[in-house]
Amino acid sequence: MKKESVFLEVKQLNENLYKILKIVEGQNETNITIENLNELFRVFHTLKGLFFMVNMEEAGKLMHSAEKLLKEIRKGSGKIEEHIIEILHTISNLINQYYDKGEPDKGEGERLTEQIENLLSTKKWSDDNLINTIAMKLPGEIKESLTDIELSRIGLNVKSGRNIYLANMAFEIEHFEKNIKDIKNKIAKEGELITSIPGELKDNNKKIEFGLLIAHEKSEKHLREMLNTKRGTIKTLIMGEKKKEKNTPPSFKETLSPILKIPSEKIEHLLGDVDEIDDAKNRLSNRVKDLTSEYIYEKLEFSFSTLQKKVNTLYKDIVNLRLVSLWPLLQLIENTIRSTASMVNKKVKLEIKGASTKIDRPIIDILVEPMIHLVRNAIDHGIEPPEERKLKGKSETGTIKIECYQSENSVFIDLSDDGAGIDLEKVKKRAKELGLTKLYSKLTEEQLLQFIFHQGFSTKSEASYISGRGVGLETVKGILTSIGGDIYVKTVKDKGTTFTLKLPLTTAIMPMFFVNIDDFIVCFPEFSVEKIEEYEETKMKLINDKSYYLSEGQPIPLINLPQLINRITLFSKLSIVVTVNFANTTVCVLVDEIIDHDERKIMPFKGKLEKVPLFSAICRYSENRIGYVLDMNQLIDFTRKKYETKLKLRTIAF
Amino acid sequence: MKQNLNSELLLFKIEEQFFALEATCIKEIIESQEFFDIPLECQHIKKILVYRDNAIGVLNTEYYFSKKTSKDNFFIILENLTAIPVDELGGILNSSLFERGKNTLKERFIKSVFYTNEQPILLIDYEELKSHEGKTLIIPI
Repeated sequence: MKKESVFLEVKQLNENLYKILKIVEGQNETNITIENLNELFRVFHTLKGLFFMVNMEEAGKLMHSAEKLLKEIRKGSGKIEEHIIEILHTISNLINQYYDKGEPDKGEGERLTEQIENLLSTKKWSDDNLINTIAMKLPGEIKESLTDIELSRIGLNVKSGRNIYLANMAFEIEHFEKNIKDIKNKIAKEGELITSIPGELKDNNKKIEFGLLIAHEKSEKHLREMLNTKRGTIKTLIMGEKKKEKNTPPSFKETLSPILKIPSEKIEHLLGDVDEIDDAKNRLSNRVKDLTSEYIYEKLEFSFSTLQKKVNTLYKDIVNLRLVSLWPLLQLIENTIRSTASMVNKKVKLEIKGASTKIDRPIIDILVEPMIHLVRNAIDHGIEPPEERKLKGKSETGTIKIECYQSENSVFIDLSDDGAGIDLEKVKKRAKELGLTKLYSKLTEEQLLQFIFHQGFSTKSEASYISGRGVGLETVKGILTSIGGDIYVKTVKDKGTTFTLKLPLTTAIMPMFFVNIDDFIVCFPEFSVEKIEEYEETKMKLINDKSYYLSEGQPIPLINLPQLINRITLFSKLSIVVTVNFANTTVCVLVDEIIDHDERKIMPFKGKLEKVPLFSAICRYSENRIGYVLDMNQLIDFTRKKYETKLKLRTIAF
Repeated sequence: MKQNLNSELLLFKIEEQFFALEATCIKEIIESQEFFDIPLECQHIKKILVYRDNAIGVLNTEYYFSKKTSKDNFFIILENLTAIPVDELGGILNSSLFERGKNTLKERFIKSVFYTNEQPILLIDYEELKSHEGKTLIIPI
């Protein structure tokens, strides 16, 4: 088995581990369900096997220790105390490092293994009283065949109100496995199969008698009906201690819907298949057009258009398969919060809402860096030290809230802290120093806060001016806008700051403006377009040999796109100016004419085309025409270089 | 990259010249598809081909091999997602069936020459093809 496949499995198991830990965290210590404990145990058991399979001994040993710890909890008091959850979270964090970096910080795994082993050797784990009490209530022959773990599980079930039954049954040997599996499934929701006790062989060794030790919430009669025990008897051994509480904590299995694992390459493959169907449809349509009369073709056109709609729907449905929940990202953020808070000696808790909101898988990867920037800044500079918070009448523990939700085709992530907020006066002062306020006669709070995303607004030394809000925010905005997203900020002094990240649901389909340049169609992603207007020669100004276009009285760099790509002809209309804003830079782009605005699927440049300058992808405009999607990042970068240097010609290799 | 002594080779023709490519660097062979011009001037890429939801470059055979395809009937899709247009497709044969000759061509993208019935077959250097970068000019006036 390849290491990559093992790591893929490890990654998925770690996501499950995180989800179970979050469920367990929300449960009362004494109320943690056996299913969740079992699931935790199984996850560590599988992880152990996987790590040993790829010769990662340190990781394997750590998983083994965690497995032992859970084994003890399963047979002991059933309590997972806060510090144990903390250890398990740290292990989950370390697993992230195993598949991200291959190896985590040296010795970290060993240190955790030692910590767990110490815990196991110093703490008395087995609840002997519980085991003894249960053993006394069971018939002698059954008691002798049970292990300590099984006795503990009986004890925990009795404590949680479940009755213990012994079902004596006989099955044909060849159907034994299947029948046991059926029984397990039937009782899984409200009970647990503790063990099976083998009996004698019957009917010329064709049948086997056995006893099933079952813990179940329902009565003996109910269980009898459920198991349809015509072939056996059911006897109550121990009655449950108390009735189950109405607000039962959710078990792992109840809270998660069945997950079908589809590797992302398979989804990419499906998208490729749909594209081929689309292409075949276009060719068929053209062929029919060539071979039949216009009258017949018109009759068939409706069918082709229906087929096109179905293909588009199929494409969107497959893109939707790529949508994944934000869980893994939030897991990483939670780990960042833990480590950053401990580094700066602050107390911070995290509240998450809407973690199951879904988004396109590639966007999750893009989001990691911006989110880490934002939470680190919030802890380092937003949330005050405990003493200061106390003086302000706040709780010593700061709170970071992350709320995720979907609205139409966008996903929003609100990231708030209850810290000191951004000092607007200091932002104003810094903006004046940089000459950013010249453009405005009167600044609104919203305009002022936008400056914190401006290039060069903050450096590390300036971080303290504005509670460190400027550190990396330019990069954060740049990353988000590059995928058609954006970021907004709101702040209240001493109450805190909220950053709202607006993200597209997917990068596979994008709304765009289509313009003509010579014989080509060029597409401007909608997210970058601020304004479209007719070109007026009087608004064009030459300053230091460079062209500017006056937009609302301000000179904005003007790029002649047909000239830039060497496609200017005598027939070039050059009639439209598209004002784009990307990564805090505004540029006016001169084009021939605007022809359309619509949503299209994006086909990225691959292979040798990946390095093509100015364009990043194509999309189908009509049956026989494609549009070339402008790479805004490159366009802005190119404009900056042109306006900051004396660059005239540039040869680009690709 | 050192060529295996007995590698499987795909034979094809461009402008009556036989070429060969190691089968391991071929992803797929497709029939004539729709292709489009590239909006920038460049010599090494002839067209853009839509291949399974991706836009890939069709190599200009004149630039790489000094041979021009007459009609772009078939495209060999290489592992690095680049397409070579060919006039005619031959079979996949083992290189041991051919007589290895001396490479006197000194063509950058040809690794070696094989002969069959005194007919030269030019073995394309995939690694060289993959790493080569052409140029385009941007005019920011």
